[in-house]
Amino acid sequence: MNRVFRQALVCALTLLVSVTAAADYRPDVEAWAIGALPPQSTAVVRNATLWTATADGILEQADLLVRAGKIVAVGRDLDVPRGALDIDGTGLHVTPGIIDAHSHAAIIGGVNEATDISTAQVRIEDVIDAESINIYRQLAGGVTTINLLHGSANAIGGQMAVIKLRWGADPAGLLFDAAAPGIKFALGENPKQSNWDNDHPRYPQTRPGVAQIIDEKFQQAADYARQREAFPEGRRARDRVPPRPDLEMDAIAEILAGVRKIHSHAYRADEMRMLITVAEAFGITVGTFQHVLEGYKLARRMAEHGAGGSGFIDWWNFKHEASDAIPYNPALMAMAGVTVGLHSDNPELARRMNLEAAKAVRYGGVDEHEAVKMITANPADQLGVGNRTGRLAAGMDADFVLWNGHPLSVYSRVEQTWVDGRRFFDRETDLAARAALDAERQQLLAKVLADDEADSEAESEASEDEPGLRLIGYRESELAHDQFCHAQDFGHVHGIDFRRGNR
Amino acid sequence: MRTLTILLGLLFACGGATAQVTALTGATVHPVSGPAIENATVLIDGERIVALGADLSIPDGTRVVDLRGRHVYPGFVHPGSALGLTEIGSVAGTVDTSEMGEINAALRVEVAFNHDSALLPVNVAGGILTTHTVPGGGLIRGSSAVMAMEGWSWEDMVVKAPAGMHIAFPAGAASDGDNQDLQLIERTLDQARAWRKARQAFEAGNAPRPPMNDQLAALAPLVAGEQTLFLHAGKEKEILAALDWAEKQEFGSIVLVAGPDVQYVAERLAADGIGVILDGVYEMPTRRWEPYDMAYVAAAKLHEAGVRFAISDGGGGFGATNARNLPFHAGSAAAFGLPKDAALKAVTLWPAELLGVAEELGSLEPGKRATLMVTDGDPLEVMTAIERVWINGAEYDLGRSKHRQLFERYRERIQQQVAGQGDL
Amino acid sequence: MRVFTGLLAALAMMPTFAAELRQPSIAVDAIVGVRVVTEPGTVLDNATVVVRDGLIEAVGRDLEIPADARVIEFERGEDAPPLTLYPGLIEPYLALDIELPDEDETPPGRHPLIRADFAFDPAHWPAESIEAHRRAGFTTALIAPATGLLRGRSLLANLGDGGLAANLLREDVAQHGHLRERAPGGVYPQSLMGAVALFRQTLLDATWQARARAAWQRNPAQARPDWIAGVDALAPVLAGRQPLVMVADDPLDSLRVLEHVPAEVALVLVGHGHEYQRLASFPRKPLHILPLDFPDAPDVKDENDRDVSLEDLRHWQRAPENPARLVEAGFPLLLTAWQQSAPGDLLPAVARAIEHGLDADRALAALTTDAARWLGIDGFAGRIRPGYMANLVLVEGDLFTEKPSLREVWVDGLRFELAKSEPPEVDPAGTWALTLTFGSMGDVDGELTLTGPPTGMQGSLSVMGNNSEITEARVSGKQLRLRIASGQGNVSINLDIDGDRARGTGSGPFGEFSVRGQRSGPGIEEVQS
Repeated sequence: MNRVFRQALVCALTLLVSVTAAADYRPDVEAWAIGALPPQSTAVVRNATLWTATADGILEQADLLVRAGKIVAVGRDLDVPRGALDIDGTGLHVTPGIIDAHSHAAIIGGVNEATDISTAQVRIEDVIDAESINIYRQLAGGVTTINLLHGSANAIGGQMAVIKLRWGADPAGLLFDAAAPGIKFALGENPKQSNWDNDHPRYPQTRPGVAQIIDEKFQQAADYARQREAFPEGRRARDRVPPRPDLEMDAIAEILAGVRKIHSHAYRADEMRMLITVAEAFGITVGTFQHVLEGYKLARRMAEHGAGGSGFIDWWNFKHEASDAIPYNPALMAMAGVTVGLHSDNPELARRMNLEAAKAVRYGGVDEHEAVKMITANPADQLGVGNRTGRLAAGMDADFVLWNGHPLSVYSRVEQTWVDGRRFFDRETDLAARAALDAERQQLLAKVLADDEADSEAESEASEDEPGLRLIGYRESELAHDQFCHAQDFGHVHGIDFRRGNR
Repeated sequence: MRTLTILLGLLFACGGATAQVTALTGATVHPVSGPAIENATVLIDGERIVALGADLSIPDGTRVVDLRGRHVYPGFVHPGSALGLTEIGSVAGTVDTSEMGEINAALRVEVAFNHDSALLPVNVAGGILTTHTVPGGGLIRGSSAVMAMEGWSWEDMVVKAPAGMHIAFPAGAASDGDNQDLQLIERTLDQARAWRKARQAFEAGNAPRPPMNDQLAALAPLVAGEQTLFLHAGKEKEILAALDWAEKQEFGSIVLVAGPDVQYVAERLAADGIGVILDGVYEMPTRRWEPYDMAYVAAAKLHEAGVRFAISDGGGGFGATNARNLPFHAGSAAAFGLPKDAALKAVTLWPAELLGVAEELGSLEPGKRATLMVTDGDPLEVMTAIERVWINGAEYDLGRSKHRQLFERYRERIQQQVAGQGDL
Repeated sequence: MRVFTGLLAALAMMPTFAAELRQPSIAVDAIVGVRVVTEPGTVLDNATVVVRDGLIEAVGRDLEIPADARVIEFERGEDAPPLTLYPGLIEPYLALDIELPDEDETPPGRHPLIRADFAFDPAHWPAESIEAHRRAGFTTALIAPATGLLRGRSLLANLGDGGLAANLLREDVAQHGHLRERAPGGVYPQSLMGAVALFRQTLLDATWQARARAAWQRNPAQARPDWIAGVDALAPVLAGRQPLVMVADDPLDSLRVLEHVPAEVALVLVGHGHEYQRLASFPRKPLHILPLDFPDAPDVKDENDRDVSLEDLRHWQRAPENPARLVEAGFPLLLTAWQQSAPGDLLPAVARAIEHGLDADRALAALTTDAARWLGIDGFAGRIRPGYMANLVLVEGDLFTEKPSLREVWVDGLRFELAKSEPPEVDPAGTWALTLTFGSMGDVDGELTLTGPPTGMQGSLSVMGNNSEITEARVSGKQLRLRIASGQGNVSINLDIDGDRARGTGSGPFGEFSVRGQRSGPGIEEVQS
């Protein structure tokens, strides 16, 4: 066989492979390149250890049956429809899909609208990055739902968006429409601009100012709602100047109506108490405190008010207001009756939330099943989707994870992650896809090298990546973080470069 | 042989007038340098382990600590942190991690090591009993120090200082033959060589005294090949360029400090016998299009290729507060292919070796410092509790951890509240 | 632009001069013996086009040439490709940056990014970019403001000399916008989500203001509503009477625009070249104005180069298919030179798109008939047809080739010859003392400084103490061609170089002049050697 012919054959075969592969779900590093979402299978996982995150606790040697995107049954010796995908779960553990209630992992064009003290009108749902590789990587860590939150630059930030990690879908297809509307608030050092290189100082610069401005905005919105309410309808309205529609006030009025939940960045106990008292004065309940570092200092007050706690487990001392953060916080809050969730706030950390839950066991001795609930059922409840996801129970969305061992063990790995009864991550498939992607890359590299003209054009092009950057080829959104919140900077790590730490 | 060791140990023990001998008994002892020994005894005299084994006889007057059902491990040796140099990241006055300027060869971190930093007890509670504290500013960053995590002063706490000189290979030098930063480093090293030569000539009485120069004097041991170079580099191309460069410079021992890309040069590192501090397992893959576990498998790839390495945690001022998470980096590397025993060594014995303190630390062996921890299980597992800690032969009060203190204080309050006492 | 005002100021000292040369010249031309593509798909070989007073009078083979016509004939070698006359190309998106006022100057009632009421004025005439487009075969362009979130209204003009006054076709053609804008001075918005919120609020404000003002006018005995500047201009957009042209940055941005622009608005997207990635996700199929700035191949060191992005490699391979993919998917399509480093790079890019599946007639239509239809001028533009504007482009062979050779461009019947360049035979680097002679009006002295090799010269011309940068300096054979562009118009000077002496002619908005020059100093190159 001569060389040219052989090459042609190889090309033809490669083409064939890519065409046939298109029919199946093949994970890809680009969401758009995924032709169709994985099929919604009828499937059973047999003989596994199920962490239900319900009153049923941990079920040994049990089965999980899913159909049409829903969990149909959980228990032993289930009746399995003919033709169902049969997964031998022997030795495997199954948990509900992990829910990360504090993420910035897929937000385009800025996590903060940091300009004004209230930017309630901005919406994360307008800027969801369906191409963020974090979506796939977090699936590989067992995460199925994330809450994309505005940053913490202002007292009243933007409206949040809860998405399911349906890698390959459009932004609209990612949205978890059952989620309760929510909005980011922030208290303490960030809204008062303590740690900013600040060319544009704005009111407030103190914690009393933060409290005052929230109260003022609530009053304004209440007035606004009254005016809108009082404006006549129909013919009588014709000659009356209508109140100007105001997207900021609309959002805050929804808070006052109890429709939109507050998820407030908060570190210190005093400021959490402050927000609780302001909220109570307007007859509303704070949804969650986010990070909630000193939650343990007012845990019973939070529980009585009804606010959830969604926290880091062990971040501390990166700012002055984080001095009293302790990893026992989740255990203590749970002891006091607070609904406790653990979150990532970081796209890398989000890939191993099971180990954050394990820390709740390490620090304060939270029961293992309760610890798993802190990354599943509890954040689901906090986001208003507790009746849809976060638990293994009949009628719930089929969002679940197969682990190759105890889900809280450092030695365990995610084998499969399912969302809506679709297998979006499968380690075996992933390993196979790597080979295909590698082959594609090699082929394209060869093509570039063979294309003299292309090569000559490119020589003058400087590499786009700054040499000091440790990461190559990422989208801005994939490395985005709340720059006012903590000290992360994925970019400029060169060896151990402390200069970039802790801004 | 073992009897001899014990006898020698006891002899040594008798020599110390006031030091009490302590025997940790009944635990499963994991020396790391060898297989685990069940129901073993660790005999501690003064700062050091004097004997260790399954059926040691315990001399009279020994304080016996019954650790049945427990496990004893050497303390973790952090291969690269900012512990002691930083307190609250966003408060500049508490941060001494990074000096200005590019040539900081004469900086010694141990002199600024805050022995009462609130970060130390918190991280001791996580089993970090030794830290290699590293300077972070400029190209030639100064010398690092291996420090015990407990003591009444930094002078007390020094295990080894200087531990080595730190040079950050300029990232731009990988693609630019005329990189100015690299030229600055080279010029400085050449001056150090010249200075050293002049100094030697002076000392031999053959030349006048060369002018004093703090920076060049600090570099003299490095250019003489007598000091370890910690060479920091980032991505594959930078690592390769750094290695090529270091080869020409004829340093003595080199430890490469690098991110997950180091896996791509594993074979060369193994062949050249260059040790590696893998700077973090919990990292994003270097390239967007790389597999999700690219950073998680780096340690396993180094191990397969036969590279000498230790696992670090990315370091940095932000990382220092949570240096206690170091063992989990190693554990997660084990979830992605690194054998468990290698994972444990990568945060105990191997960093001690790379830092030149393996005579002192890193495993449980007679003659080494009794710097160890008592756990209820595998110390790389997150759920494992670290129950007791000894540093330099003395038991450490884990209640010194601010976290533990606040926990206990507020636990009591919440218990009362739940029981219906006290207001909210 | 300070560049050229000096020269103009100097020449303004001759008051009656300009008026003399601005008298119209009567033009009747017959271009004979050329291949004529009258419109996409229709070709006449060896045909004649008669142009009278800026309009096409007749087209066809065997035409009788009018007695008063100047006959334009071309000598062609046997093997030379046929000279082909195409309708002048229409640029549907010639974007023009408008300087934003300082943050402090933004008065209450106006957001600095909401500029929907902006309209061009003759001072904005982008002479430089217009000439660049003309040299690339364009004769008509939609000139659009490119600053702000809602940017204001575009106008349609021919690309001839004489400024807006001589070239305006239509005002208020479309409204323009782009979501990826940040306010100057760090005020709201500084994020994309902020920009989207401002966009949504602005549409609400436009509707509210119309209603509120009307209500108050009917019944002034109530609190007068505040007035929000800029938003009233959105009324025709919201009523669907005026197109809204939105720039989209990437596929997700396209979807974002589609989501936030109400369905009744005549939305047009200025695209990004990545449309192929999410075509199936578009809920509607709006007209696309597509740039063809295909990426260069990634910089690949060798086949093991780990740092080349798979994403970049893929896009490099697929980008040229993008136009064909849009057409296949049923999207109406126009093409723009926007985003090309020079407008002249568009035609080779079109050729590449054709290689990758775009129908050639479709491509030509996108640049002529389809663009004319969208702009509402298809009754007199976009074709070579009697009664149409004499906007033409004359090419050696075909228009869409890797290296198209444009010979002439006609705008409103005025001929712009784009002479072909020869390899340089002289090196004019150095300092030249020039004398510009304006007929009987007298002489003006100037100093010309040129540096660099003949293939890439730079320099400046100083006249009466005012220094103007040379926009373009080309050496062709023994001739030096200089161009100086400014907001007021173009000056071109052609000099024959003979050693250290130069002689030639020049022209500008103020008329023609002759030039003599003497090299008085060495070029920088020579100094160095």
